[in-house]
Amino acid sequence: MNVLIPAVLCILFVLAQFVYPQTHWFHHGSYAALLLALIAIQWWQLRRHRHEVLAACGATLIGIAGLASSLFGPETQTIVAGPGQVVPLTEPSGVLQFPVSQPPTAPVLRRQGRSDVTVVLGGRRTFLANYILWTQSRTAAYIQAFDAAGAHLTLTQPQSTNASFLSPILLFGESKTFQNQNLAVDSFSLPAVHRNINAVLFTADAIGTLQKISSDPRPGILFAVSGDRGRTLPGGIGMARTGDTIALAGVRLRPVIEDFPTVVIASAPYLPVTVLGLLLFAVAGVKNQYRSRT
Amino acid sequence: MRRPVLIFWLAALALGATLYFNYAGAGGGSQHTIGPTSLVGNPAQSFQAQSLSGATASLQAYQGKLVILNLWASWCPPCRAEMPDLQRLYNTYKNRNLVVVGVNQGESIQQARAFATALGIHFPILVDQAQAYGRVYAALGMPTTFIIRPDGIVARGFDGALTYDQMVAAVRPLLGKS
Repeated sequence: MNVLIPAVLCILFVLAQFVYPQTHWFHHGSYAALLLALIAIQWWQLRRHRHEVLAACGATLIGIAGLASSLFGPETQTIVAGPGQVVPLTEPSGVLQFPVSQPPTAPVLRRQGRSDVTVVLGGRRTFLANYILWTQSRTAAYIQAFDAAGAHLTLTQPQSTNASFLSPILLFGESKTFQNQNLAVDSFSLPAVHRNINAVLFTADAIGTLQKISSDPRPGILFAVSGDRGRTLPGGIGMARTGDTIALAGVRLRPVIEDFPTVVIASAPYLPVTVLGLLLFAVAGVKNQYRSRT
Repeated sequence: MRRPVLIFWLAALALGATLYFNYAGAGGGSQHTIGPTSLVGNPAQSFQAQSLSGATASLQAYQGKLVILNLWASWCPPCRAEMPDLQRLYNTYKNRNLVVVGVNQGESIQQARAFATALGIHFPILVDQAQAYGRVYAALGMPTTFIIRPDGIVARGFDGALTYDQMVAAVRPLLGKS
């Protein structure tokens, strides 16, 4: 075995972090051990193939960048927040600002003392030193609530972990199984009228299972309205399709279901070091080609 | 032995550079906090809402002033308790470039107007039915209060009701700069 085989393998395994950044295995000890082994084999093989030292240097730089990302980089995180929300981040450092506009525009990462980074919509990846950011589409619902007289009601989410307390936007961060279907759920309160409401999201696909009830293909939300004691109130269960208003237990609810971007952040090998390593490896290849001709 | 030593130091330098640039900034930026304090130091965001007269209004109209932004609703007992102190703060310092802006969260103009009339509130009130201010300003409950400098940067954020003395202690250091 010469130097090039472990060198190429090392490079490929590190470059895979750029291609499949969400892979959990890249943060596993076995991946780090593999990179270390490939680096060690390169240098062991240099005893007999000294002319490959430049290629070994390049591959080692890339391997080191991959190791650092594997051992010290954070696990892939998905940031879910409502329109207009600002989420402070530590890795990378900054605040992630989600768009308010409809249709949504791209989320922006604002960093103190550095330029803002726009996370392009549509899943296209944005590279930021040792992180990769991209968006994924997620279904969210904007809820309007009214009392029996038609007055607008404040909506709160006291138990939500993603949306803020005063957000009327349900992000459906949890799921439950209903009749062998995994459905997204959320909850909110109408404190002015002492109502607590559980919401189950029926996407267009899930609605297909309800075709016996209705042929309307629009997504909808199943609401269950309960009082302060936690018991579902009479007439408190019903489904509203997106854009429709439903009257349940003395309140009127109108959901608008839309897609909204979430931001996925994965760690990646430090790009400048990786590029330097690739350049060294390429120069080594050119040098070897030149030598073989002469 | 010179070449291996050189290569060793090159690799060490690369590792050091990678670790430094990867992780020197981690944790050195904004702290991972939630709630009103997480917005301190950031520009205050402004959204279209309605005044009590039904006209379109927003926070941006008060740029250049020291703004006390208060998120409230009529069903919130601590909000009701705090309102007279906010009115007193406004009366005392309005001639020193301070304005209190109350932003009702999610109710109708009629409800907000009735509440303001009942309590004798005369500072500007915005009715934010879409609760844009509430969700963006990271409120953990109500009332939630922010102090926004004349340059539009959030200076302080408070979760819960404040007494008049607490309000004065919070705004006094900033009054000289407005």
